Amino acid sequence: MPGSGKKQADRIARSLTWRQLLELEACARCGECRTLCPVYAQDGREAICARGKIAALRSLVRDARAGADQIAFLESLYTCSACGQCHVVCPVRIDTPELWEQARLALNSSGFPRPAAQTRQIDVIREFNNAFSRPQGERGAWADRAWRAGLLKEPVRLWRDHPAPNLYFAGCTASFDAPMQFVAVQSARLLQEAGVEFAILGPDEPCCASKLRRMGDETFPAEAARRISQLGGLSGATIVASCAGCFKGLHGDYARLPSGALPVVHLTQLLDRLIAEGRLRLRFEVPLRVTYHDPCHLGRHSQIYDEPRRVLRAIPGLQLTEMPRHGAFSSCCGMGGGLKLASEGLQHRMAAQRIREAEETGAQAIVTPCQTCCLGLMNGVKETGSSVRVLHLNDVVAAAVCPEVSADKVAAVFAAGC
Amino acid sequence: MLESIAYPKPWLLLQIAEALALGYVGLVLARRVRGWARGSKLNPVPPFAPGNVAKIWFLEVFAQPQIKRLSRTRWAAHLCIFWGFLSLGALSLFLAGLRLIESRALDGGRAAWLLHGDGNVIVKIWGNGFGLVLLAGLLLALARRFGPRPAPAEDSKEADTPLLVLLLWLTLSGFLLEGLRIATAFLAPHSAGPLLPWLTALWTVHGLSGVALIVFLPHSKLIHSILAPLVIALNARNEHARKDLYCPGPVKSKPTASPEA
Repeated sequence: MPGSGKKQADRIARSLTWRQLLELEACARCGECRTLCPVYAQDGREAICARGKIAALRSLVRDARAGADQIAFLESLYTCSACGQCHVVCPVRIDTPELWEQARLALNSSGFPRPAAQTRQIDVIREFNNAFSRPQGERGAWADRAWRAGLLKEPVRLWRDHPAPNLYFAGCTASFDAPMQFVAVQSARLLQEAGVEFAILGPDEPCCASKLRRMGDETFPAEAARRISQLGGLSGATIVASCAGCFKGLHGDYARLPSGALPVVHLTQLLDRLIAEGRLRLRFEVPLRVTYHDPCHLGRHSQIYDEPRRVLRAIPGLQLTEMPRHGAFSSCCGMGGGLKLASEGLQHRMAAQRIREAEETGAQAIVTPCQTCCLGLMNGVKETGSSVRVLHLNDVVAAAVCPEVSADKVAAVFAAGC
Repeated sequence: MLESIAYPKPWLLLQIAEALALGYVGLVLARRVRGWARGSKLNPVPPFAPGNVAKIWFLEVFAQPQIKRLSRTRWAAHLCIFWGFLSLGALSLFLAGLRLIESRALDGGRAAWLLHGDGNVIVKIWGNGFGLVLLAGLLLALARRFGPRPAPAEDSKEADTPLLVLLLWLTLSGFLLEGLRIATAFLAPHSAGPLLPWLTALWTVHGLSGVALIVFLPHSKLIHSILAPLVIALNARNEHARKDLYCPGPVKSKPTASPEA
């Protein structure tokens, strides 16, 4: 533990905003945050819920003497996915996700350790400009491979050679993570099917750096400012993000920084518009009963609830059924906020809970437009041995538009080394 | 109109106690503000529509739909306590103002009409009506506290109960005092005489209980009654600017019903 007492408390308090310090006192201690907290549902300790964390932080900014409470607080602060459920139910409207992220920053910059796995992830992002320790030169490789394998209608153009009105921002996971590269390929193909003129940055595409913010890294503002100046200089192009985490970063986190608001839409918003305008034709039936999982970063954090549901309802043959917890009350799969890095077992249990909720609806598949949620929910399927399939929304739309570009097909083609 | 009996009220004692209590609360709050001032500045907020933010603020502070969405019983209890206290607080301020006006003879007797004349019935209806609203809210809150509830809310019992008991005592002593006062109106002066010391004692205890609540306020969860409207305003401003949660308008989805509702 770092130095103790009032000085330490002052240092932590100075790293929070005055609004956050005020919020610590404004908490009504009603405990509503416990009712729907997905981590509390698994853990059950007061220290883990928002009220417990706020109480601990309140005493920490008064006197930061090391003690058992502090250790429990640090553990609970990092085993939180910052899903925002406590923010939604808080009658006082305390902005809890921001508070947790800022508290992580405050504690870390005051010398309190964060989980080693999170530190490693931060180092990787800083060193490689992506979360997968891969050379940036490989970032746009999916587009070339997909074109050569005949999965695209035309080659995807690089922005630096052919600027376009839209910029497709694939993000680290869809660019580098083999099981999820189909998301980038299908996104590009769907945009081509709808006749949307777009380009990608390829090796120039930066990591959005939002994970740095999620884990409370103090370099986030500077890293984000660099990206804002790079992306903001792209002749006013609209950025289309297919990753919910990147969207939250580009749309939400950057907007909190000076001159950080960028023109950005999530792919589901664009698909919804393209379907409504008749530009994207859903020609094939998809006879499937599905339920929709709202990713926290897209739902509670960005208020995108209706668009993905409209897209699903537009697919012929597809039946959409809701889980009891959906929309603003959707339960988190545990993949956000660095939680999985801090406690993998907890993430698996949270995802298992979500899969059980999906099973109860009688759905054959749980659909989500977030590749990170997909990966998280798959852990839940393994944990429960459920027969519910986890599908990315792109895969369902692709099945109705261009079934030849299914996730399985892309995976097979890419695995064959194409 | 029935004339209730006049009984001695130790105003000086109460005023001294109130002044000390308010001074103490002021000191505690000033210390807290100094603590908050250690925090860093907020990031600049993008342009927002003040009208919409004001609308969100009025709605969330005075109608509290955010609590209704979670539990209708809790909403009813909270709203009754909120409006009960707000109205009784406003009444106390109004009466203090009237007494000041009366003492300086500034209004040609209209203050006296409200304080001692036929107009006093308006004051009584206001006070007793909202006292009943407050009592209903407190009883509902106590019923929720000690009635069967889902496990998650158990932990706050210890912290909440003394506060609820103090609030309930304050309300009940107010009703008892008012009941006794009304009762004296039906009694002959010689029969009402022995009640006078009781009335004075009850009035003093009721007043000092109110002072105790003021002192207790910054150390209890009741502080949220002052800070929550501020946080709600700050939140509404940010979220409206970000076109984020709770913001009315085209980007807002239809609110989802709570699975608990």
